[in-house]
Amino acid sequence: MTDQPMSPDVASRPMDPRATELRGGRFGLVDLYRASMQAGGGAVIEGRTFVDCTIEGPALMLVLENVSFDRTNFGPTGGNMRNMLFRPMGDMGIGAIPVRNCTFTNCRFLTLGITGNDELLNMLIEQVTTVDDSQN
Amino acid sequence: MTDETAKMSPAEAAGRAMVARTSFEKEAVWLPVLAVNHWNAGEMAITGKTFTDCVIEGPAVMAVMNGTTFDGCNMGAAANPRNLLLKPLGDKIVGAIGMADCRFVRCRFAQVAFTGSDDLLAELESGITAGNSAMEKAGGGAA
Repeated sequence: MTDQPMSPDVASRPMDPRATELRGGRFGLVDLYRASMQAGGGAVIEGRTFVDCTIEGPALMLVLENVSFDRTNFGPTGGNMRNMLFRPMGDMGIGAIPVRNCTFTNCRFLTLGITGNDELLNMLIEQVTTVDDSQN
Repeated sequence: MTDETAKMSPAEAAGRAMVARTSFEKEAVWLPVLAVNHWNAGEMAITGKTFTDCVIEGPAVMAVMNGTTFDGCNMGAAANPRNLLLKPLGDKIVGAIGMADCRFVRCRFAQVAFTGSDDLLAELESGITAGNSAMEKAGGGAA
């Protein structure tokens, strides 16, 4: 059961899990992470450009250095950006999917949580205007 | 009575069968798939299941809800139990997998973090070290 993709699109449409640019797809972040690891991409999603993608959870994204969100719809959050944010109580990101040196442009997140350092969390709270989108 | 599974794809039927199960024993459970199968069946939380001698795999964050218990479990590889815990910043939780009235017996968690109320996080923090220690003394071998 552990190789079952969460998003049917991953199974039906070929996707290179190590592609540096992903454009227009709909996929689970966990599926991408596992596929990337299995393809030798390491334990961090790194150096990618995501354009016009719908990225699904359930998953927690650990935002590391040089990650930018441009025109990103963070998805349904009950009207409060804080509802998708988590502060680590320790100094490791167990359970989260690390993302570094990535750009998300015109993407949409569904049931994704985000964690990172306090600076990042505060920046997201202050700057993101969440669009609660009823169309999943 | 109509057999609804006859109209489903094999993957969907397998997902519904997983949702219908109330016990899991000596098997690996990929938590994100278990959650998505529940969501696809219209259930936004996983409730009323017993996991015995299982490996519960992430990466995932479990929102520990009412009635969920851990008995003799190894909660994950972390020298500091706080590394397994996340504090939600809002009053709702997006991105985590809600589990209510579930029982974990002698399970081992891999790449799973936990979140919930402040009281729950404090309880987990004190319980994780004791649980991991007991599991190690017992030989540590979940499925």
